[in-house]
Amino acid sequence: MTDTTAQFPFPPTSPEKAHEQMRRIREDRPMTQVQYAFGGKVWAIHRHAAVKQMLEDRRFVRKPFATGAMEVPYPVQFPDFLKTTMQFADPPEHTRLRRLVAKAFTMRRVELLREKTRRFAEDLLDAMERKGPPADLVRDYTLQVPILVLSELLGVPAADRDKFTAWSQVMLATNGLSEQELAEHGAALYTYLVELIAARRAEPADDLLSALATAREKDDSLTDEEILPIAMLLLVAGFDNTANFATQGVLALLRNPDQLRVFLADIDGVAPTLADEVLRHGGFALGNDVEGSAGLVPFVATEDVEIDGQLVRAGECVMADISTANHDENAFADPERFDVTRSPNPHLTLSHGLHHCLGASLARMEMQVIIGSVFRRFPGLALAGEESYATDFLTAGMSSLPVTW
Amino acid sequence: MTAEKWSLEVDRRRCVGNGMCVAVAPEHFTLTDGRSSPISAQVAPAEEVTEAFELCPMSAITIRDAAGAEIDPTR
Ligand code: HEM
Ligand code: SF4
Repeated sequence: MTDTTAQFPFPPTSPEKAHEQMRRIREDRPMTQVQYAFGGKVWAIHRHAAVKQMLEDRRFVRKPFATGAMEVPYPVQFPDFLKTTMQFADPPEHTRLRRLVAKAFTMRRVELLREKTRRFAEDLLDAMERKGPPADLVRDYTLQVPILVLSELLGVPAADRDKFTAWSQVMLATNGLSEQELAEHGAALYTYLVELIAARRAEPADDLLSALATAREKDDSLTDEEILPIAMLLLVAGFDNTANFATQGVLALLRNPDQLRVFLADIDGVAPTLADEVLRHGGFALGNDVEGSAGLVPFVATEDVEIDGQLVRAGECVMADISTANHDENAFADPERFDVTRSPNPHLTLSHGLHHCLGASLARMEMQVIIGSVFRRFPGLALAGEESYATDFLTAGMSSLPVTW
Repeated sequence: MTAEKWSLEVDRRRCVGNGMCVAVAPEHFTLTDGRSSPISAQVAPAEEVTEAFELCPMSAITIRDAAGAEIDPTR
């Protein structure tokens, strides 16, 4: 580092100062070697082009994390079950695992779910309207839609949705449950899924659990031990993130009335670009302090690789600092602007390359429906208090957002 | 399915370069600059191509029949 004012990571600061800091970091160097509490050192890559180059290069792998040969360098620890999933697998194992579920998540398939998603949203908004304001938008709405969509996709029967929702929330820190309650809910979810898989194996339906329960590989069907981590990965990856970004989108619009006006003038037309702009920049558009911190799940270099002039040695770890890369002026015009019509928008929030988010099309569709439906129903939606955040989890999302209308 | 040729296209603006198509149909797709493209634009109908078409997360692969009409071989 030659510019001593360009430190990374950096503590929470105003969005303006964070932009300035990130610009200095990108100008100074392509990456910074950071030391984390778990797993030690990792190169955080800051420039957009360099991040993409790394994510496209198969010499960066995850197997050493999966086998336990290395610990993942990160501010928090990853749950063990994740390490048996596609997220920590390299090809050809990654291809095998991703292939099992990928068909359910293609853009075409996701479009078929849009109407259903809209209906889930409308039903929840009906309930909010009946109860009258104020409401907690997270608890009553933005968290519920992704859980319902995921239940639909997996094939959780409508009669079990309430139970399933309650148990699934053990994946979140937003519920204020005790250790013991968490363990009990986790066990109940596990048991429930085992029973549902058995039922689907006996009598397949047109859903993802049936597809997994009846999938055949070299004439062997998948065992429960193989299916369960897949289902759990979809739950962990699937709704917390989506709910959080959808909530962030609503709040970002409320805090940026000029952009809200643009959105309200053509909700369906603007929703797609809005969703991607929230993914890129939502955290900066709230007006709250932001920090320069960890990025996506790291990789390990299998040989010496030079990226953007920096040598990464075999055995060293690298990580995409997407927050800084998503504001790179070499990839985005006016990166500090929240622009709900931004296009193109090559943000890296859903990653890129091999591990590009399996649920990317689903997440985008859900965000579009969630944000679009609430503003169509309540064009005068307003804040009824301060939002609060969960701090003690992998994805530290918004845990409540009081609103009125 | 007829014995006629398929023509393949990859929408390189939509492709996210995750390589699923290359993994399942290495004889038909290749990654250049992090994006996929068909190795040859005209191919005989093949199961691997159908699978790549179906698995592509961005639905970025288009298959056309000899008359140039888009087809979905999974239907
Ligand atoms: C706004 C919401 C979402 C965001 C921001 C997001 C972000 C991401 C990111 C950054 C990755 C790459 C992680 C890595 O490098 O290991 C990823 C992977 C993944 N995501 Fe998402 N995701 C979202 C929603 C979803 C949904 C709705 C699902 C499915 C129900 C999902 C399923 C997955 C899976 C299975 C992977 C692993 C893919 C692989 O390793 O090949 N995600 N996601
Ligand atoms: S599967 Fe689709 S997104 Fe992935 S590399 Fe092939 S064409 Fe691109």
